[in-house]
Formats: sequence, C-alpha cells, structure tokens
Amino acid sequence: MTTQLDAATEGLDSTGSRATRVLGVLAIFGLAALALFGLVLSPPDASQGEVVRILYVHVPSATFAYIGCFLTTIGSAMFLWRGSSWWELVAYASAEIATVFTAIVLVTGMIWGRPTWGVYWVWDARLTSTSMLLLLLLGYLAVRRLPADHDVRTKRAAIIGLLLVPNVIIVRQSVQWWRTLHQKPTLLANGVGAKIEGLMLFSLFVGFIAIGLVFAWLLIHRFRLAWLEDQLDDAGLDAAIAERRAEGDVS
Amino acid sequence: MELTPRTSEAPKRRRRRRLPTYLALVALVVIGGFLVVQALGSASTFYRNVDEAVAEKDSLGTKRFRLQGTVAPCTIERTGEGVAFAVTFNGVEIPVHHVGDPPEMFKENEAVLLEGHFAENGSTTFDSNLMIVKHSEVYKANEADRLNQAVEGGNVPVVDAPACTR
Repeated sequence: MTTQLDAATEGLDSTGSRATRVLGVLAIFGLAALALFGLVLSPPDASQGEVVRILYVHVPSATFAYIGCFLTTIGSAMFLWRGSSWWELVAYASAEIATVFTAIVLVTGMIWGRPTWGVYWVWDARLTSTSMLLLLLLGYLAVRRLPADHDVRTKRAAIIGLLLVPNVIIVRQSVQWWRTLHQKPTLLANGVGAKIEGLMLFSLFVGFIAIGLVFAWLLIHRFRLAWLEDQLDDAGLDAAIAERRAEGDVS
Repeated sequence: MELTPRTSEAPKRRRRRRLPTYLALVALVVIGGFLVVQALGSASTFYRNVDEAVAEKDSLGTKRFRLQGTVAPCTIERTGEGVAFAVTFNGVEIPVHHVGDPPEMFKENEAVLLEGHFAENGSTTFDSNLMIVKHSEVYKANEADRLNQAVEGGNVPVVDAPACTR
C-alpha cells in the first residue's frame, strides 16, 4: 500500500509550492494592511462610530463566500455535464471555503448587529436567506462525505452544488425584493463611492484584496488536499484488491 | 492485466457511520424547511411603515406588529419606564411610548423598527417594547473629525448643526 501511495504522491511532500508560499506571504501583508487601514487610518462613521470598522471584514467575506459558491456551482455543472473530476474537486474545495466565509459573515454580522441595531439577530430576509445558504453548504459537504460509492456521492453533492448560485442570488437580492432590517447595498448603488466616502471606501478595497488573497491561498491548498485524498482512496482500493487476490492464491 | 471491476471500497467502514449521517441530513432538511417557512411568512410584511400602519389601523386594532419610521426631531423625551417620541414616514407622524432602554444608536432622524401595538382600538399611539435601530447604507466620516479639520485647516466650511426649532 505504501508503495502505491508513494507512487501516487511522488514529488508532493506538502500541499505548498513556491506559488502558494508567495501567495501566503502576500496574504499576510494584505491582512496587516487591512488591520492598519481598518483599525487605524480609516475614520469612525458619522452615525455608527467605531463599530463601522467591522465592515471591512464583513463585506469582503460575504463577497468571497459568494465567489466560493459560484465556483462550486460551476464545478458541479462541469462535473455533471462533462464528468470532469478536476472540476468536481474545485467544487468540493471551494464549498468548504465558502462555508467558512459564510460562517464568518454571520458571526461578524451578529457582532455588528448588537451595537448598531440593538439585537444580534432578526429573521429578516437577508439574515434568513444567508442562514439557508450556510445550511445548503453544510448539506453539500455532508452529502459529499455520506458513505456511498465515490461516483454516487460526488453526483449527489454536485446536484446540491447547482442550488448554491440561485441561493446566492436570493441572498444578494433579498434587500431589494423584501423589507429587511439589513441595509441595502452601499457599494453598487449609484456608482462606487456614492454612498461611502474616501478612506472608508479605500479601506474596504484593501479588505477585498486581503480577504481575496486568503481565499485563494485556502482554496489552492484545499484543492490539492482533496486531490491527494482521491489518490489515497485509489491507492487503498488497489491495495485491497491486491490483498483479496493474494487470499485467493493461498486457497 | 488488471481486469477486476472496481466496484467499491471495503464495506466495513461504511456501515458504522451511516445512521448518524442520515440523522444529520434529516436534521438539516427539517431546519432548512423551518427557515424557508420563517422567511416566506415574515419577509413580505417584515414591517409596516408608519403611513401604512395608520391606514390599516382599524384592521390592526391592538394586534402586535413591527412598525418602521424615522424618529422625528425634537420629540424625544425620557419617561419613567423608557422613552417617548414621535415616528414619521411619508408625511404621517404618530406618538410612540416605548418601554425599556433604547439601543445606543437611538437618536433623532434615525430610522427605527418598533415591535408593539396601537394603545387601543382606533388609536394611533403606538406602545412598543422592542426597538431596533435601522441604520442606513450611507457611510461617511464622523462630523466631529470634519470640525477638527476645519479648525486645523481653516479651509473647510463649518456648517452649524441646525438647532431644535419646533
């Protein structure tokens, strides 16, 4: 078994590579810049005061949660349509990262809600649809791991994966379609910068870059890990077949 | 040559974990269904604006609902049990008696959501006991900072805050 696994993972002693190490260092610098702009250089908000600073993490996390969901849906579609296992792994890896980012969005939103709204949570359309998105992502991950044949569980998961983008559209549009406590979009209303000024807008931009780098770094590592897991499964299967054959030879 | 059909992995490992996983799936579906019902039931009438609530006051009676409006300037008064003020929306203004401490961000010209009911049938006085401040999507730097800038630089015009005239 070891020999087969070694053969499968030859030349791969970690999920890191020169490219991801550069990416990781850039992500650390990005986060440092985000801390500097978000916590020090950007001004407090006229009505919200210092609490506004959580915006610079909350909004980019939501954006990259959406992007993760888009990748999962695209990957699921490519897997169902073309049978591409590369895309299936992209879908799986990005669903896991999207789950983490959606959880971050909900947690930072609740931390932000308490001092501004006065409550941690209300069942308005934005908050409800976001929790539905988290449950759908958890469902995808559960089904992807539900003990079954590899082909069966990847196909089941991919069908759930197709539902993610429609759900993201509901989350995104919820503040327009229904009355919500959550605010309407700031950034994409009347052109960028119409509703958020100067240094606050720039700090948010730094947030997008920093969180984006973290997202890319996590996604690449998770994809490589998922690929290695697949190789390990195959190697385990080869070993099991070899063992059964050996038993057959003895008797 | 390897001709054995590859069907599945060793089945031992699989059976043990099956039940908890199915239970988790069922739980997810139930929770998801609950959330969908919650969303559909409350999203469309998550709140009523002041003008709508007044127009519907006969059918609303003393039923509990969420009211949305802007805190009218110069109407906030502390009371023994909380705060009294007026909310306005679309040109309609009604008095509010709120029981409990208002959130920190409660101030005039800020939109609020109030949970409560009209004091009595036909009345437009709103008794609330849950207040949520609804902040807007506009972000701008603290005005105090601008005042400082104006004092320091001398080239940013300082507009006096309008005094309470009512």
